[in-house]
Amino acid sequence: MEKQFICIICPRSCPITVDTETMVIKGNKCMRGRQYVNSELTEPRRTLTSTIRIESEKVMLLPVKTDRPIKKEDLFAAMKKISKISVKAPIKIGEIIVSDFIEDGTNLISTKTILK
Amino acid sequence: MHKSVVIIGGGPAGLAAAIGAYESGVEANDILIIEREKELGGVLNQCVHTGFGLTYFGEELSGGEYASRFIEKIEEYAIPYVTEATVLSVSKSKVIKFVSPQLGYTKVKADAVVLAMGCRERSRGTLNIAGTRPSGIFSAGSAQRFVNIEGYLPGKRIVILGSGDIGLIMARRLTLEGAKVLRVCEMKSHVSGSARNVEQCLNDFDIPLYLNSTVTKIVGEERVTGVVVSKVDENFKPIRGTGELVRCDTLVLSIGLIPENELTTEAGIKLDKKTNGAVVDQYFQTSLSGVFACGNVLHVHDIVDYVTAESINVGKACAGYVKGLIKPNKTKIPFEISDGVKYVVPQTFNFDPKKIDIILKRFVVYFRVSRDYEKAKITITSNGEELLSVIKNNIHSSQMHSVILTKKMAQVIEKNKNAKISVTEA
Repeated sequence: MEKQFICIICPRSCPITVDTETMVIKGNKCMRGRQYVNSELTEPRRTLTSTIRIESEKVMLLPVKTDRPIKKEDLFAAMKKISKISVKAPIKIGEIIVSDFIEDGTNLISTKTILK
Repeated sequence: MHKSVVIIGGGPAGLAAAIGAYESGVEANDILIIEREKELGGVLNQCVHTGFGLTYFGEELSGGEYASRFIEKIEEYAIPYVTEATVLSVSKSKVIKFVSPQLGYTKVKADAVVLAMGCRERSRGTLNIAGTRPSGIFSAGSAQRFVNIEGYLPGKRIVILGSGDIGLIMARRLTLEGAKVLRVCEMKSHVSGSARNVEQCLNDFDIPLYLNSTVTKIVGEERVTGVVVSKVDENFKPIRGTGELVRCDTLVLSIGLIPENELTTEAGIKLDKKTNGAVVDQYFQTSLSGVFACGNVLHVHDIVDYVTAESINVGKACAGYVKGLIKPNKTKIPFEISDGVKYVVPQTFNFDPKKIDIILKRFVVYFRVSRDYEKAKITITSNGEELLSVIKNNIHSSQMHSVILTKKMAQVIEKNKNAKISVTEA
């Protein structure tokens, strides 16, 4: 069976087709497209980005992301956990906010520096 | 106050221009960035999603992470900036007047000015949608600001009109935050945003996309209670009898961006009707000598990485202007466009015959095409002589494209005093 994908790895958005029996992959302009399709066929993953509450003089929210893509099916459960997290400034960009926050080894990290 | 280079706008364009000017020899203290918001970074600060930096850094960053790469450099170089400042005017003699809580009313005389004010969103008013004027109508960018900066969810049952990238990104963001995005409507027969955003923002969450359809009426007194969605024909006219009432409490508009050129217009700088930005030469210098423009105030870009690359060069050109390396822009060579081209930036050339490559070794030409091509031939000619010819596959009207002019090509253009860019089916 032939399956169609749009690669989401870069703005080029390559249309990729895969023959799921022979695993012949066509349309990708780079290796990352191949990796993307393989991961889509086995276990689709996405990097989750969101915001959490922060006690700060300047801002209400701190932007955060998962430090690696998580399973697509875990996105909403992860959002639920994120909605309950609150931190205090100062926070540095890249700092781990909660390690292993959905019990699969993924850390939630800050994507902004808030000094006060 | 006097400064060599004053940059209006501390978003990605302004930050890169400042860095470009500094790295080309302008003293940090001779530069000033004027920013409207409380912090540098512009719209990147409300872009918590990733997808930035793939071209420029070769890695995927969030908006804030991308901005911080440049803000850290500004801090490291100790380039001065003023925040919460509103620029009131830019004069022909390059005097900039602004007000800010920190400095009060200030006049600064500049040798070179960079216009980097960015763009704003098209609003409901530009669409002429019938109906009432209730609350619950947001532009995608304001909805993004509410969710990501202020911490409010703009609504619970949402219809998005327009399929620009910000609208697609917001469809996902609002869904993840617990809202129900009922549908995304697009008047055209294709999506305005990127295919990857349709995939990861709509398809991942089973959000339906309705092409050839638009909102023809807004319903509700205090608050939006619904919108009427109708099919449109090939001239974008609503088809009678196709109207369908969709119950919702919020309408989000993602219908395009307009460069914010009020200051530019007041300074008497010539604008291009197609880009809604200034007419510039190969250094991105406007019709007013020593005033440059870059980023979304010049022409709306698809991705920030291109804004950065463009603006670093504008910073370099500013440094060149301040050092007297750029001749005043008097005799300009027009860069003509053929039917297949929607617009080109730069729109003019102003080469100094003996010093063509004194500031930039090569010149980037940005353009958009007026329709989709499966295989397009892009040519640049001068007096009928072909200077450049490239074939590119899958050229879409929704994407910005670029080609590069070398010193040799520039020499021919300078000699012949004309140039033309054409796109045809190959």
